[in-house]
Amino acid sequence: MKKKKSVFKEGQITSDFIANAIAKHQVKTQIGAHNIFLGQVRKDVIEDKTVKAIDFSCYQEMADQKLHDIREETFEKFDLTCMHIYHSLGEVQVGEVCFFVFVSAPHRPQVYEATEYIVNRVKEEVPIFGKEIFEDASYQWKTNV
Amino acid sequence: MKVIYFGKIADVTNKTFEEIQLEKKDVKSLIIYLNEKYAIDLNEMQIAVNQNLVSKSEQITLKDSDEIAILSAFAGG
Repeated sequence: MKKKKSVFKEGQITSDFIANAIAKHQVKTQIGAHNIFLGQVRKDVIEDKTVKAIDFSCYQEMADQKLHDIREETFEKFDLTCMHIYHSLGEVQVGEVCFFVFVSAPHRPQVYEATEYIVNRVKEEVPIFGKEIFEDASYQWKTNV
Repeated sequence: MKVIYFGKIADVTNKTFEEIQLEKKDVKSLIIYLNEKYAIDLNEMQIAVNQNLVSKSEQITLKDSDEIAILSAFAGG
């Protein structure tokens, strides 16, 4: 059995972390194309209240299992060299990155499709919950639509 | 049986888990219990048994050894 990779990171995903992830792939010389998706916390205004941050939590055991399945099925479906998924837990402020999907392959068409496939499946199937915290400290629970 | 709560459900119940006794151990009775005790509406909850979402309309029997989780809407990404 392949080792399960750790997806969840406390707090925002920094631009340094993303840059390092890219740099690590320079030794994988069979790669000809990378594609990256970054999810950023948006400053939504909901009924006159402005979002300040999202506080993420998850059902860890189920999330790990679903992410493992998504990884396996993505590799079966697309000719990829590697893929990485990272998601924040805890509080992430507006403007910060909370979701990072990084897909690499020998050729370009596969990486676009695979990225879209992964992002959609993570949003729909992985038990991650988000509390939108407003500037006045009240909150509401976010729902993916 | 032990039931664990996540997201908005944990917020509404004000706990992350509880031990509950159902006369009839099935999904339908669990939904009724959650609705009566916490006023959680059917469409506000998803039910996972052993880490897989189950249908809320089918007759599904639960065992004490099952890991039963009540989840609110997903918000990842």
